[in-house]
Amino acid sequence: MDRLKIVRGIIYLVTLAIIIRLVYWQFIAGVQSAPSQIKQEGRIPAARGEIYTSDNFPIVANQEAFILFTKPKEINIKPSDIATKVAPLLISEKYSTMEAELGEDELEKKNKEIEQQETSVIQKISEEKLFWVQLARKITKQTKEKIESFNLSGIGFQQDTRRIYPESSMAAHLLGFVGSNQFGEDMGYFGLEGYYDNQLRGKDGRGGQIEDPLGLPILVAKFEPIPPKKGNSLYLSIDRGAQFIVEDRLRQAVEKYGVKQGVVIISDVKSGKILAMASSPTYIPNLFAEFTEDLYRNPAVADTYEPGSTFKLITMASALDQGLVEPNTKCTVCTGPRRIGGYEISTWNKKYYPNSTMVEVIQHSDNIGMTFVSQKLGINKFVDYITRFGFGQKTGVDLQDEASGVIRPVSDWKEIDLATASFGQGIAVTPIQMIQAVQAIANGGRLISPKIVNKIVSDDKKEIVKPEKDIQVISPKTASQITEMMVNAVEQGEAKAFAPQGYRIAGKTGTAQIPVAGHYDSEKTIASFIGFAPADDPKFVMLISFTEPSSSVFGSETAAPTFFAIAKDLFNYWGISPRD
Amino acid sequence: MKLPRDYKKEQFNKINQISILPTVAGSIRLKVVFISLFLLVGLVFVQLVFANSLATDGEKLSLTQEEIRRLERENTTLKAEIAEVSALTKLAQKAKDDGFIKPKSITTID
Repeated sequence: MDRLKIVRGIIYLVTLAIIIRLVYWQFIAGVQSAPSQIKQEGRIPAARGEIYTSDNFPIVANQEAFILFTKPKEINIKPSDIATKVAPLLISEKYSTMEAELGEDELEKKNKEIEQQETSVIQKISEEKLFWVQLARKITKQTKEKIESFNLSGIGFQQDTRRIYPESSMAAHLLGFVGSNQFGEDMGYFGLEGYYDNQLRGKDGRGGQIEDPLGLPILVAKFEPIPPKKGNSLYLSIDRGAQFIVEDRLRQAVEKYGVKQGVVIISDVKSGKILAMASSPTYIPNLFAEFTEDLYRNPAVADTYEPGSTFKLITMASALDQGLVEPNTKCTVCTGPRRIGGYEISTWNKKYYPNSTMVEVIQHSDNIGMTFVSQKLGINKFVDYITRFGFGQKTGVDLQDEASGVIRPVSDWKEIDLATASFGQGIAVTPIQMIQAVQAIANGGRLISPKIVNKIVSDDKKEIVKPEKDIQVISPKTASQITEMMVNAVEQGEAKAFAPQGYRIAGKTGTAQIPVAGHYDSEKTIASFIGFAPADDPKFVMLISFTEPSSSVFGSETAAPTFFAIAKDLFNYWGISPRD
Repeated sequence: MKLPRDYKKEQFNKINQISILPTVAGSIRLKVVFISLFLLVGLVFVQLVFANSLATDGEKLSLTQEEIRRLERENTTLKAEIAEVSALTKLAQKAKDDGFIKPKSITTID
């Protein structure tokens, strides 16, 4: 009996020992040692969200790319031999584009850049104390394959992605570009890439798996890799066809009129959404580093200017809305130049039209007539209206670097300031603010703040982007009255010869002198034209702004013809028929 | 003292009856041991089969993951290639090279 008890006791003890050991392995030792068993662990880069135009075309997409690195300890040939082979493949892509027909100067620059790259590669490879050194980022698959064909030891590649712009420089200012931040991570700069950087950038994942000695994953092992989350994609209101037309016409106009800087914005009247936006000179987002930094800013939202006569529409609309003038109200001070606050105010062509109606004041772009209107309005009401029209504050357009313009506080205004501001001098606005204000006139007095993104789409949800402002700034009757004045200005104004036949177009020219060192330079102007069409049921509102055109300083001879040329193309493109 | 014959026989029978019990209990224990051993061997075998199967599945998973990554890369490349060849800038240039021109006038028929 004693022996049986001893054997039984031993069995119980062994069983207990096994259970304790199993519990230890399962619940204690397993948890503690799991991380150390992971052979493969690392950051899985998340792809950035794409950007699509209104026809679902990826105007910004992603492309497979690689990080080129070296492990200096594994290099077994002369660093200079590696550098000679690799360096020519790491220079700027502008030299390898098919379009690039290299002249002597360019060839010289190319050779110099190759030399610099060779020196850099040799220096990096010679860093023997380092285990891993990055040689280049974002190299293409083709470049990788060429380097692989050299069979170099100690040279490796790491998976990455890079931005691709299928339409090259189209809408460059609007899109922005992707560069690196101080940690070497991708980051959006300017335009949509900058404004929506947090939405577009995904969330990097964590890879890893417990592997057996052969490197195969052990499925029974407990490890939960975190998959990368791709960034959200943006779906824009930009009409690619309209954008193409605008850029093509802008390029021609800049060349024809010798324009220093040109801006075109087109927005949808009913929704306030931007349909096209272009600026010249521009840059290629893929090669942004090759261009000077001053080209990165989008002048359509970041630059302020004195709007000149196009601003007369706002002054007149305000006075009409207050019932202070009617379209047939006669100007009683339009007989000649006026002195206000010690300054003489005259018309742009020194012609004067006594007793002209308000319709004619707009038609002749009469500065004296506008001083008559602004005096009826007074400073308080004038400032109130221009604030309601959105001047002096950001429109909330979804682009980085938007400026708010400059509207002084009411207390700082003097009589002369009111007079000059009534015809668009002495105040600073942005092109996007002008578009927003005239959109309200075209839309029956209802102002809708501009947006470019229609929706933000992720794997599991869709967010509709709504305008920040949707307010009635003037009555529909006032909007209708000012529209008719604008139609008259086009049909009877100086640019009527350029207007396409069969369409009622509402518009207004502007020629603002540029202030230089405290005075206005008569030879340097900002020529502009703003309007909408068809006037009775507007489909689009468009602004053309040319800085310092050299062929003519006047908006009626530069911006207006460009406006009508683009409008004609858009009528055909959108199938808008002429009226009977 | 001499015991009566009947008493001896009775005692003998009693002893025999007592010793039968341990014999039966020993037989049951043996069966339990055999069954346990059988189960143990069986389970070890099953575990071996599963472990072997999982090891093979690990390889399959590795290959599948690589295939997914390859297809995703290919998808990205194809998407970019499609976008590049259907870009308006490329199409316009091709149309120009092929001799297409913009219409001089457009007539609208209501």
